[in-house]
Amino acid sequence: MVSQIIEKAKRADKARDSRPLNKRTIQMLGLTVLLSQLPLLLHLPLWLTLPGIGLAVAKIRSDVQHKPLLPATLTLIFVLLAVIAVFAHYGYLFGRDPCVAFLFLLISFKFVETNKVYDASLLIVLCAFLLVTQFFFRQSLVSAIISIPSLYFIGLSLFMVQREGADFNTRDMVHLTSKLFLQAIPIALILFVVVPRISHNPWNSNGGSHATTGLSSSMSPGSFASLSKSNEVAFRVEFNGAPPAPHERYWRGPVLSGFDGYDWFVMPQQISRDSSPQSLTTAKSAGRQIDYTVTMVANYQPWLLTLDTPARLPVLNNNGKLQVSANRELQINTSRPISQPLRYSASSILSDNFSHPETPSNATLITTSSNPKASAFAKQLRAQHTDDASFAKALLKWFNTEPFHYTLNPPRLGRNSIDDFIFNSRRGFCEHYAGSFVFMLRAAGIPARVVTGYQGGEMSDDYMIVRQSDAHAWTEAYINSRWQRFDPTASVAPERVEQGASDTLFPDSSNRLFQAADFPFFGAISLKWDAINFAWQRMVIGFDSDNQSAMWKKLGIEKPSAWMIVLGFIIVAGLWALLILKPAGLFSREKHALCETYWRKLATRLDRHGLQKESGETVLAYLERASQQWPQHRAHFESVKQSYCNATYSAEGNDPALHRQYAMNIKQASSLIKTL
Amino acid sequence: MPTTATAAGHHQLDAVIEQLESIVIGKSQQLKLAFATLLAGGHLLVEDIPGVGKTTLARSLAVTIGLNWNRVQFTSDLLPADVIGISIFDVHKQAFQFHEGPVFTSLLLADELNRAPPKTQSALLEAMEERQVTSDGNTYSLGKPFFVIATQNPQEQLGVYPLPESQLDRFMVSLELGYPDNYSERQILAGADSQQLLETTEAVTSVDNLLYWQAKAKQIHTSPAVLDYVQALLNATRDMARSGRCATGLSPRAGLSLLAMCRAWALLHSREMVLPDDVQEVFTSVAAHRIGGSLRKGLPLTEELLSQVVAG
Repeated sequence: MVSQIIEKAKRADKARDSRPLNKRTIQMLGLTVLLSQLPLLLHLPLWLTLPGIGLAVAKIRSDVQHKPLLPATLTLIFVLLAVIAVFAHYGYLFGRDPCVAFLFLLISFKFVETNKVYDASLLIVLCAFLLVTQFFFRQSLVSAIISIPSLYFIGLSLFMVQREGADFNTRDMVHLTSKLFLQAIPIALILFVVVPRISHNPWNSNGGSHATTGLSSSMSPGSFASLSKSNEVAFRVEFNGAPPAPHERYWRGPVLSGFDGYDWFVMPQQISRDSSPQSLTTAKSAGRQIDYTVTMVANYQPWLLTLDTPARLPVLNNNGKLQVSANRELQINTSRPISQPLRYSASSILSDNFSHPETPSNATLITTSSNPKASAFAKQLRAQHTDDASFAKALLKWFNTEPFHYTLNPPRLGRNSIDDFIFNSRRGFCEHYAGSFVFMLRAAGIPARVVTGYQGGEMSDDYMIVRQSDAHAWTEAYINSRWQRFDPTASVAPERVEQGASDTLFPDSSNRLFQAADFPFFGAISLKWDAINFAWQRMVIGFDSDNQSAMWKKLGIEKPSAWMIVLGFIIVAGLWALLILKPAGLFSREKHALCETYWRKLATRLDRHGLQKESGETVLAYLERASQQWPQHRAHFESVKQSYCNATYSAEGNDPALHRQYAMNIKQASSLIKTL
Repeated sequence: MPTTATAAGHHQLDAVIEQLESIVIGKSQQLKLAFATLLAGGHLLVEDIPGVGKTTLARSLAVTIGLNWNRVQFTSDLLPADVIGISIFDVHKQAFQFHEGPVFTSLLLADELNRAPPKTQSALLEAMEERQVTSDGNTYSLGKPFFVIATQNPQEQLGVYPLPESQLDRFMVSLELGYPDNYSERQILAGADSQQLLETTEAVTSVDNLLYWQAKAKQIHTSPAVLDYVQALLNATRDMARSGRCATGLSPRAGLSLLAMCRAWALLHSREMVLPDDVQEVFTSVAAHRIGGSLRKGLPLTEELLSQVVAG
């Protein structure tokens, strides 16, 4: 069947390029365009996607085939408008989002004006590129799966465009495309495994607004509450050995020492400084040591999360250009924001206090003389408890006994937010408790800071899932030359630490959108789904150059250089061409008789001057038409006709000498046809 | 068309055509095709309504070439013996004597072939293919040339036994005469009676010449380029059949018939080689009834094929 289709295609090839596409092909192209645009609906603004899709649909439904749907000038104006609109929306043009948005619109415009084979080929290439762009936004399993149908249709429409004008039926095409598609899967797998990895993803570095969910380098009242509603996975952990108990699952993230009276923030001068690795080993603490591997989702932030307290610097699995350092607050920083999923191994000592050689900086005492009532209250309490430890304990107890409420929807607070919270609303989330606790410790003269990160995690089979909803803030106070962890939230709502945020916040199931505990069946499915996603992250997205080296090692082969791989592919492609393409006659160049060669030269010339040979037209009829169009050359055309017939169709044409003579006649007569 | 050499006795070929055209007015193409069929040694099927000149066509061919001719009007009660002949007991010789039927002639006009029951049809068709008839175990050869012009009523009419595809395949060519155009019709109406004309017409050539031309036609050169084109056409009909647009594709026998017709056509135009243009001119008349079941149904299909298959 393949050779038949190739044969037909060859026959149709000549007249194909200039011929308008038929309705069936246009519809197939439209389907391809829509399918490639579909995944981007999630990532682009609606004002842009709706007209884009509308244009494509209008083209599919229109009956006007042989002339463009829109005049060229109008299209140009629309394209310019699109550029302006995209710029107005994003504020810049050269970045991921505006470029993808513009490509999205451009494909719709291109499709609208497509009615020739050439346009269609270009359109299909654009569609393929558009399909790739969705992975700039997201590399999940779902986005991979939804790109499969459009990939298939790209193949199918490429086929239909290439076979335009040949008589074939769509079933044959579908059959053939499916066959090729299936054949391509092993090739794609081999390419995936073998092709050397580029460790840095260039698409993410130059901007684009990342809708970051996750921790940030500052904290204000209310910032964690929004995180708690997100069910997204922040990272996953595999433990070597038993996982930590729920109350030990404090994942240390950014440490916020700075305070400006309202916001807590990472002290800027402390980022990416102090990268001496000793700072970790000397941060002594006693407790069980635990080793684990974290797989992080790209969060576009320059820090890693470790269990409290980290014992050594985490080691990145893909040894890219990313550098890891720790600062004096035991915040683990990376040299660049994490724009790709990342795996690292770390070890920690499960302990709620550690010593550190450096004395606390002044920043850990700053209260900015705001919140006078809270400050006065702290000083009053301090008068009763001169010992630092007992003061902290008393403060915790105070939080416990006073009627504080742990709630996701705290009321808005005034300018002196801590005063407002402690003495008025008394309804808050972890950041309110941590913030006010640190503030009052500082007001009492004890160095303290807010630590943000995640608290909790759900075990799924052999690994732990930590979600954005587990985001948490707690505090550390410098007492007796050790940094001691205090979690004021735990004294208000102890179950937050033992059971996790969601169980604490949504005790009655009517408020919950979806809670696994109520429906064990769904819970099992959602955990299974996460396991699949994790496998995807680990084995597909996370398949980096290190894994590749490991694979080569397992095979017992030295990791081949990029050149070796390229060479290997050239050899394989060459073999493929020899074994499959050659028998199918794909590049057997027809050997023409001499007179056929000269005749074709003339025919090409005539073609260029607007006289095309119809597929069912014989050479003689074609030449007759030519001599009607250019009557001044009638004699020469007649001569070509005569010689061509004699050479090609008569018995004499088999005689090489005569054939040559006829061929020369054709050449000579063609050369006499000078002006067309 | 380029003319390379003049076939021997070509002026007589022209004379035949000329005389035919003077009797059957305004049907030049059909006359040429009919004559070419005779030159190619095939049989002709004419699909048409009564009264458009089918009989006149057959008679004028017979008269112009000087052939014996018979006419059999096929009816629903016609028996095979009525066509091929019958053995009758001769009292004097005390033996069965075979009495030749109307098929023993050079040109047989089988009128309204599809009115006869299949048994009678196949008796004739067998005679056409084998050029011999068998009766009571004895085989009798038919003379040379043997040429059958069968006419067929449009199949929508009542009381017809349509010819199956296998039988249709035995007719090299099918034609439709159709109504004459205005000018020709006026000439027919105003001119002399064609019956009278036929009686006074003399042969312009001889049976020997016809046999010579038939032999000559077989020698016309068919180049590989033309064979390629013919094969491409045959394949295209088979693809069409595969996609369900027609009942059957063309058989190799049809391909041979097509080539034979092309050669005869080239001879008729005094050329010693077959051109793709010849193929195009005869293709519909050879292929249409085979792939479409009748000329009318096949015509749009063959036209489509001719316009799509790339010609040499």
